[in-house]
Amino acid sequence: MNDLERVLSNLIESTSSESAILVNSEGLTVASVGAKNEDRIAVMIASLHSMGEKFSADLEKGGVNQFYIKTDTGYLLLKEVNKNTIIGLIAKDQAKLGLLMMYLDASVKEISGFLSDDDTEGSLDLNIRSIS
Amino acid sequence: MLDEITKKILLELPEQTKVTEKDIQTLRTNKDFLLGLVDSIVTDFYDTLYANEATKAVFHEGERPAREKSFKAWFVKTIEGEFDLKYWSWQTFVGILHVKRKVKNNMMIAMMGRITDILTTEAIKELPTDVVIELKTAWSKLTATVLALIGESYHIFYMKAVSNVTGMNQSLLENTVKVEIDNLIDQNMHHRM
Repeated sequence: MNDLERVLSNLIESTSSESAILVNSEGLTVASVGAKNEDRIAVMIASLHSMGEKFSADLEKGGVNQFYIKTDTGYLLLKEVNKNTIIGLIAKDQAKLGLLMMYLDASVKEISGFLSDDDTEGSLDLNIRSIS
Repeated sequence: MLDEITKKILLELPEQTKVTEKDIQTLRTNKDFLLGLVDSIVTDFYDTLYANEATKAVFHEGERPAREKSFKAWFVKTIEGEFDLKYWSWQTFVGILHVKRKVKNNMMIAMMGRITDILTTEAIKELPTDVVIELKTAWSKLTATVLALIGESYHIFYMKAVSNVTGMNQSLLENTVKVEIDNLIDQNMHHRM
């Protein structure tokens, strides 16, 4: 288990969550613990985050700090670690949202310390955007 | 932007499929023959489209004269054989218009086949065999390039519209497709012959 997986694992344990995943803006998994269909979850998290950012920008509401989806059986929380990395937490219904967010914030801080400058530049956004 | 996309699409075409100086010369030499076909091809083109429900649905009521005029302009310009970046980018632009108007690539490719069929039939009737062969080659390469530009432009701008609205970058869109495409292949594997 590497440092990132350890942070994710601690997050799951602290919040009794199902899984936690760290993805980049291309929808590729950086680290993951407990996630089934990891590739699919990674692109969905990156897509949700992109859409949230675009939506917020179009509404002139600034950047997206975090957002969550409440389902019948739990929560999906997303938070930006840096411009190119997003963390996703899939939590159970019994969890307290405030606690989930608090632990998520702490994990983001810890993860930031492990990511290199290359991970924060968001330099992968080529082609479609660069030709607009 | 459109010029850059056009150049990129053209660069990806195999050298052997590209329109050569000889092809351009062939088209220019046979310009009068081709111009003589324009009116009948334009009429047949829209008669065919309006005779089929799916293609007829593309059009608004009463717009046939305007569409015939613009298609004729394309045909005449094409026959003139000035295949510079401005001409090719025009074809790329048509791809964007096709997205807007819901002119699908299957419709476009089928109709280009019909034009080629009429043109070849008339050429066989009126021109010496060696000229027919040269003209067929030039026309095939030209229309293949036009189809390549319009078809690829349709795909690029369809995806670009999704990207611009959702904020999803190209790599993310590609990875999203990638995680699903194997499932779709598996679901349809029984169609493989």
